Amino acid sequence: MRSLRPLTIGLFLSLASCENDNSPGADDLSSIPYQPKSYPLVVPRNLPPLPDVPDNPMSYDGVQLGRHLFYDPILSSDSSQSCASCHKPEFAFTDGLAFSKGVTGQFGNRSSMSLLNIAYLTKGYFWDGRSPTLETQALEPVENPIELHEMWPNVVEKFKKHPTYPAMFRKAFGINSKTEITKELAAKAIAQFERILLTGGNSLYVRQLNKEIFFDGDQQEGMEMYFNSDPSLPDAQCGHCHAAPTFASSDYFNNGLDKAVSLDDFKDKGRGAVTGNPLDMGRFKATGLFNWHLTAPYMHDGRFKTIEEVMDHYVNHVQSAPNLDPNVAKLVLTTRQKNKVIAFLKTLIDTSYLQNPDIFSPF
Amino acid sequence: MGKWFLVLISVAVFFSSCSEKEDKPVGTLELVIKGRFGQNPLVMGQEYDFFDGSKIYFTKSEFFLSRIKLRTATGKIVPLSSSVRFVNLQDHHFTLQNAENGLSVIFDKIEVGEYDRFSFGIGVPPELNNKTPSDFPTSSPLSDGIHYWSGWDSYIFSKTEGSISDGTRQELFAYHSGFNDVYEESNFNKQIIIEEGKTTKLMMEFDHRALFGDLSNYINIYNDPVIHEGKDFMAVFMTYFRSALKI
Repeated sequence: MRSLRPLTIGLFLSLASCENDNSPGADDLSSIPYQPKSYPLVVPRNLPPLPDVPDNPMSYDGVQLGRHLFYDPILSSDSSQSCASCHKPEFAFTDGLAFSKGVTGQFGNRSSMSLLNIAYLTKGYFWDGRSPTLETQALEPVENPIELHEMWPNVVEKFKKHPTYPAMFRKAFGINSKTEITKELAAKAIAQFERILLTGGNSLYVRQLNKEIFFDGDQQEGMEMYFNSDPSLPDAQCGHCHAAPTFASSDYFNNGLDKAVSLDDFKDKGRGAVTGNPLDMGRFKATGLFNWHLTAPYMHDGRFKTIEEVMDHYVNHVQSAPNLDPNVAKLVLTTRQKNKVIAFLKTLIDTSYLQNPDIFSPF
Repeated sequence: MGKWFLVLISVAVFFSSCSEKEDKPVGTLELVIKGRFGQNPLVMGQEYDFFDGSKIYFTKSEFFLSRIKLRTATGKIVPLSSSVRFVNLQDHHFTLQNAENGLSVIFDKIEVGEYDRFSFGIGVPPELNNKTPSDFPTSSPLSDGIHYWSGWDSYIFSKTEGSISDGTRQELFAYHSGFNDVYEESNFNKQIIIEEGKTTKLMMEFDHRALFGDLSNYINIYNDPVIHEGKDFMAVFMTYFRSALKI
């Protein structure tokens, strides 16, 4: 028994050191190969080249790390939710709800935004554009108490102790030690993943542009009203805010959802709360319309369940306000014309993004 | 030996020409654009008296500047920007302070010297206007579809939006301009001295009342609250637009 004592002590010490491994080199990742290669991104037809992001160039391993982080509930305080909880591929990376429920059971006050073609946004992220870059946007939901309700230092510690993430951070960013893992690198990886979420190139609209197909009469007239390209038809005014080629906008608009006698009257201040510009009160981003059929309910607060309700709002229920966008003030469309605009909107459906295996959960 | 001498001379000439190019002294031009309504600084959302006594306010005022050039005293034309500059007053002129200070558009690395003319076009010149947003990198304002109108096959050169009311009527207006036909350059004869390492300010006033004409002949906004099409009307508006800019 006595002869076993040194062995027991040795074993104890060795286990203790495993528990809190401060030995030199324990955090070292430099033996793992770092051989960055570009991600084979295919930009949809008729969309512009993706913007260069010099401080976060996209790489294959960066995208793969971002994909893992996007789907991993490790980012939430109770490991119950991930980014994908509110941004599901089958709903065009929304969640199909007016408001999303966070880990504490609280609901937010704005609808989850589609992430498709988010790479093309240039003037702020979120409905109010409060995050200047996709990288800063990716940081926010983790610490938001009504979303993932976690603290980044905790998340970073979880990454460091994780069996595979340290090596993935090494492959993505060339870090030499676990101690170099940061929330900023995690956000960069998530942003890289989000930039591959592209759509639109196989829509009927783009196929028609490329003369592969021809629109039927309703689609054609709907497009002409959408873009106001035929003076003999009414202007549906859609293209002012949902502008081709992305059918989105980097700008912010008051599209007449709520009546406001003064600019202080908006319950949700929207962009105005970010800029302090009174005319931005009640203004929100105009989202992309590719695959709109998957993103219901509509508007920043999900108040409209169907596209017919949306059209009905613009034709019959636009509310006055000092900063109401003039383009939505006087829409005059018959039911038949509304249906033709909807027929055109259906040409913006392109679910081929769902064929890219890299956009789904790796788990 | 002769061959090596020639190589040596070539290398010396190469480096001397490089250093001459790099060392050419340059300065900066700061174009300060001040939105006005008549004699008053233009504050977005603030009411002003229109020609007919109506109250008018603006919610949007934006336009493209292009083919921006200086002319030297010897007649040499110096382009200041290879593409366009997008000017957005609505995100800047929302306080009196900002309106009084003006919005700065910076042009750097301009060769030091004396210039006698500043020129630019309002809008997008035909060689760029014949393209579409898909043709431009996202870093260019021309890549944003919000500035392009497919119905015209043209960029929207300018957007002026707001509201007018005479107490009994209220009208929201949206004056958008486009088309190659209405693109025109404006020239301003002005002595501009660019000094090495220094910034020269050039003040430009943009009178939003003059956008609609003058007291003797002005656009009736109630009758024509929208110009999205109509080349003749747009041509008139762009004539007013150019006359509304003063340096």
